[in-house]
Parts: sequence; C-alpha cells; structure tokens
Amino acid sequence: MELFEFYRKDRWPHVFCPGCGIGTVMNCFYRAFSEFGLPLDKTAFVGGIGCSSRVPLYINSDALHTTHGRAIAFATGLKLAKPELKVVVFTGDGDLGAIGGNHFINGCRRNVDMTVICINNNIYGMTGGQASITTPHDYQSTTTPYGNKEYPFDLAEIAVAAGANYVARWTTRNVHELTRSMKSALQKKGFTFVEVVSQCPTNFGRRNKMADPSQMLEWFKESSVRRDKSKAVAVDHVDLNLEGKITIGEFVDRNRECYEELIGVEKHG
Amino acid sequence: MKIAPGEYFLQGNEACVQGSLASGVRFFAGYPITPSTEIAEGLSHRLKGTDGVFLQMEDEIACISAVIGASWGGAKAMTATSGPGFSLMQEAIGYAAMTETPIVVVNVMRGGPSTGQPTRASQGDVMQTKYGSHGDYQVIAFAPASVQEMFDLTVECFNYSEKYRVPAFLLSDAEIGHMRGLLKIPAKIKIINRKEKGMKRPDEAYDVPDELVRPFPVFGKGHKPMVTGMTHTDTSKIEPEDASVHQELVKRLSEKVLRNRKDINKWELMCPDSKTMVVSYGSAALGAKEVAAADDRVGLLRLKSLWPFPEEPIAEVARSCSQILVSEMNLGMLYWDIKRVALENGCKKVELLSKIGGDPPTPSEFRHKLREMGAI
Amino acid sequence: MTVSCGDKVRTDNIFPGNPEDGSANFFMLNRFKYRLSNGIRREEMKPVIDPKLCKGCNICVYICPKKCYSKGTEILEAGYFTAVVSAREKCYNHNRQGKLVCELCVMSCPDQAISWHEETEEEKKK
Repeated sequence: MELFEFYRKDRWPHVFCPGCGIGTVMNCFYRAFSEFGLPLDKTAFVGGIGCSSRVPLYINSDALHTTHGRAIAFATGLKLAKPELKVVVFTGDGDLGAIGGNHFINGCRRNVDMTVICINNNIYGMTGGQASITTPHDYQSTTTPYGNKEYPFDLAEIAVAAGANYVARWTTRNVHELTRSMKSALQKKGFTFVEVVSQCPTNFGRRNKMADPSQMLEWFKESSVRRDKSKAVAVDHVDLNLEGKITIGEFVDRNRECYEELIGVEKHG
Repeated sequence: MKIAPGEYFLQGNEACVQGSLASGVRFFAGYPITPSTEIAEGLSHRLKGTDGVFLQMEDEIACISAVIGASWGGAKAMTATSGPGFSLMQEAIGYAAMTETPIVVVNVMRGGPSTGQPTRASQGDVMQTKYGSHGDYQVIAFAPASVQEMFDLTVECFNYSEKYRVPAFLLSDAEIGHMRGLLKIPAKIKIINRKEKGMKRPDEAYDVPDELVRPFPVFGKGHKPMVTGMTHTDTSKIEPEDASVHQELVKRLSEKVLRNRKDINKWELMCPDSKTMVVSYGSAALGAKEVAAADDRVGLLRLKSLWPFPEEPIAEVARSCSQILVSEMNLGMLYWDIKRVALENGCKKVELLSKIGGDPPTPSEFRHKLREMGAI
Repeated sequence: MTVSCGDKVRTDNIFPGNPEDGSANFFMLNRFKYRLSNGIRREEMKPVIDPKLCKGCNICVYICPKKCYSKGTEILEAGYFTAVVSAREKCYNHNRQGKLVCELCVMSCPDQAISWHEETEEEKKK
C-alpha cells in the first residue's frame, strides 16, 4: 500500500517529538497492515487519549478518538454493531492499564475480535511526564520527584492471565519481530494484544538521564530478555523490578472462542 | 422478538423494552441496577431472533461507551441505568453530545444522593441530565407518567435522537418503571432513522437544515470520518486552539436543539383556564391529575418533555393564571426555572410542593397545599 | 540463504562473509541476475534522508549495524540538525541485486524520513 494511501496526507507530518517511539511503531504497523492485505475501507481505528492514541487520527480510515481509557469499550460496541469491520485499537500504558484497566481485563476475558496495540512508554507523556502504572520503581517523573515508590504493572502478563488470544511484547528496537507480531495479531481471531515498549525521550528519558533516544534504545537492549511461548510466561518470567529486565517475545497464541462466535453474531457479519 | 400490536397488561420497564424494539434497537449494553434491571433482562431475552446484540458490560462507563461505539457502527443503541450509574456515565454523555452521536439512555430515577433508596422513586436527576457533563451542550429528555407513555416516549427518544443527532434521555422513576398498567401497541408506529451521509434524504421530510444537523457518516462505508471529542470543524479537522472554531461548534450544538423546541416539547394540559395551575411531570403529576380531574378550580400542566426546557407552555399558562404550584419529587430543581418563566410572564405566586422519600405526592397532600395557597 | 521481510535477522552480521574485508559472499559471487523466491528484482538503491521530515533524533546513527549514518552538523529545512548519509557503500543494500534486506533505518525512523531512491548512473559507476 502506498504511504499516502495509508496515512492522511492533509495531516502530515505528524506532531510526535524527535525520537519518539510512536513513529517507529507506525512504520511497523504500516508494513504489517500492508502485508495483511485488508482494504482500509473495511477497518476502523479506535484510540483513547494520549500521544499513542493519536495514531488513528493519522490513518486514512474511519477513526474514533474517544475518552480517556475507554477505547476498548467503544471498540466492543463498534465491532458488535458492525461485525464485518476489522477494529484496531491504539492505546498507551496509562490509558489502557490505569484508567482503562477494568475495560482491558474484561476485554481480554470477553475476547471480542479486535487488535489492541499498546505503546508503553512508561510515562504519561502528553500531559508532561507524570508517573504511570508502568513507570519502573525509583524512577523520576513530575509527580514522583523523589523516585517512584510504587511498583509497575506488567501489562502483557495481565493480558495472558485475563484470557487474550494472542499476547506479545516487543521494544522499538525489534522492528522486524514487531512487524511480524502485528501481522499475526491482525490475522488472529479474538482479542489480540501487542505491547510495544517505546521510548519517550522528552518526558521520560530526559528526567532519567536518558535524554537521547539512542540512550533509551540502549537501555531497552540491555534490559530485554527473550522469552517465547514455548516457555510459560507466568511461571518463569524475570521480574521487572528486582533485576530491571523486560521480557519480550510472543507469550501466548491460543484459540479461545471469540465473543462473536459465542453469541452467534458472526452470521450477521 | 417484539410482541404483536394489541392491548397488554405490562410493567413500565417492559413497556420501555417494547418501545425500543418497536423503534428498531439493535444494540443494548447494560449493567444491573435497581430499578432498571428489568429493561436489561427484557432485552437480553427479546433481542434474540433479531439481528441485535445484548451485552452486559463490566460497569456503566463501559455500557455508555459501547453504546456510542455501536451507534457509530450504524446501530440504534440504548442503555438503561439509575442514579449512581447515570453519574458515572456523564463524561461519555458529554462526548456523545460533542460528537453528535444519537444514543438513548433510560434513567429510572431512584432516591439519592449516592446509594440512597434503591427501590423508591425520586426525580433527583432532572438537572443532572442537562448539566451533568462539563461544558455547554443541549440534550433531549422525556418524563413518562404511565406505562403507555413508557412505550410512546421511548419511541420518541429514539426518533428525536436520530433526527437531531443528540443524546436523548427517558427520565422514568422507580414507581413508573415498576408499575403495571395497560399498554396499547398500535399497528403503525412512526420511526425516524438517521440521515446517513451519502444516502438520499429519506421520504420523511427532515425539516432540519443541513447546516444545523450534518449527515451522519456511519463507519465502514468509506466516509473515513475522524470522530473526536476535541474541538473540530465540519470537515473533522481538529483545531483545539482556534477560538472561532470552538464558538461555532458549541453554539451549533446548542442551536440545533433550542431552535427546534416547538417540534420537541410535549405536554398535557388539563383545565387550562383555571386560576391555579399545577406544573409537574412524571410520578409527581399523578396526584395532581386526580385533583384537577375532580375540581375545576385547579388545572394541570403536565410536562412530558423536560429538556430542552419547555418555556413556551409554561409562559402561556403563567399569562392566564394567578398562581402556580410546582410539584417535584426532589427539593426543588426545575422549580427555579419554572418560577423564572412564570415571573417573567406575569404570574406572581409560584409555590413548591416537594416530596422526597420515595412516595409520589398524594391527592390529599395536593389538596392540603392548595388549600394553604387559597386555591380551593 | 533467502531473506524475506519479517524474518528474524541477526542485526550484527547478516551475511556469513563480510563484503568489506574481501571475503566471499554468496550474492556477490553470483554473476547471474538473482531472482529471489517471490520473483522481485530491485535496481540498486540508496538511502535518502528527507530534510523536511528529519528531526535529528539520530536513531538511524545508533541503529545502523554498518554505521552508514552520522550526526548532522547543519540545521536544515525542518530546523533540526538533520542526520546525514555518510557511508552509503557500507549499507547491506548497496550494490545488491534483488530484494532489500536490513531496512532497520527505514523501519526505525520515527518521522518516516528515510526512503530508498534509485542510484543515478554516476553513483552506480562508483
């Protein structure tokens, strides 16, 4: 697919900061979507509030930019009212796991057919750098000037436990694996979840001695540990805080029945 | 499956279910809350066999969000709740008003504030319906007072929300919702569907000009709308910093409803020439209805639509009577607006009969108050 | 060895022989116009940074395994110190016949500023 067939030309170039990982995720998604091959007329994109959730507004398709944290609930209604649409949700870590935590776990449980791409930059970027539920322990942010006293969530593990059909986590360094994961997520039926650990040099990196995007990418390289679905994640994943590692890989690829099959709405699609 | 036209003895909530099925509801997302649970249960049963979807969501915020999403997917969508759930839904209701999404929310009001009296009636949410979310917006709200009106006004809610692309509310209460009474389902019901972008205007004359209510770009048909709660222009360009764009948008959102008050407002008048008029709505009007039917000296203006605020019928009544008694099941909410309109139109004495605690005001309480006012 | 888009590639050393030190490389020894399994043939391509889009974040400088980019010293159209292509011939796609491999710079650039352009005749001769 041509670049400006996929993106809206009148809203180009995008407004993300220099070095922002969201741009990288957009590249991978563009490629994965082009390979997936579905026409844009048959897809809808939903986003919450935040930098990551602005991606749907750049894509040349139906876009729903909703309230903070409720993107999955909107997407559930949209998908079930029009089952023939492919729905892709773009959210961030706070939008998905903090205010949207309830909708996230119930979305995984309910297993409506949608793809959720969570761009996890460990911070609330758009509002200026407040601590998020995935900000690592002892790191600085504007609301934790003495270090983050709380411990972070592991969003991918929550998705695994709550029942999503496909769960993967990558960083913005692993562009090829991420592209392939996104394509698998798009092709798979049911609630598929791809978490991308991404750099926010402006609001996270700058306050934690990683102002240069390449410093943050180096941090990702040092902290990532590869875990595949052959090894059960919940049992032997490496704890993010004690040793400062991020597990990456495709964690789960199962075939739970998706919600449309369970209630019989697929026939109308 | 909906029931065939005829006469039935039904509960108010069930009548609401039938009204929504008659309008063609295709999506319902609910959460159990007394006293509106019967609507969710009824639709979970009756949407089977249609091409509609029933969802019980994890909380009310998810319910209203799913309903808005479904509306953008092209379905007529509805949710039903009560006071505590209604408070949770306010952010999304503001979103629906800003994005001009047609949705229907049934609020079966109960005693508040907070958990209050789950099984008793009140009319405590009437101001929250219009002013609950932040910012300026207009909504449409109807207040039924019988089982038949639960059916009729549900159909009207759907029609008006589709016609004006605005959230519409059915402000019932625990008494009306749980009361059983006669329901006559007519053979032919007037249904209005949304004016979809790209489709020819339907045969029903849409007398709302295009510059007030834009055609609705349903998802999945190639229109590629950018739907957002941020300030946007008509072509869906996002311009939060531009003052003139914001003014134009927010004013239009209000104008499209306010300018069409004549079309939307509905009321019932009994003995309009009386010296004393009772102005009321919903359950609170039932006692006054009995008094007005028996006594010529007292008349009743029963408001069937509460928002946009029905200035015209109240003004007309105020011009011809000498005193007004407002009756509400709260400590005085619409009373102040009614008083304002009445004083502006020459009626100097406006009193309030407010009753909270769950029971509607009885006819003898009305007579007592009217005696105090010197009407009877 | 065939490589297709989305495959796992080791980013430190894609080909067994490093072209720079003159050791044998399967593709370079092949004198025929090489067709990959899906039949795509590409002309020689070079990476080009669009100065209107580049915001000087230097991720390309960091991520390129062959160090083809370097930090810019001039402020160009977008108002940033735009990165420059300093060593085009080191790129894995340089002088290749067939499909592009290792597009780490293109995929990683957050501003979609890097794209492949056909080399001009003079550049091909170099």
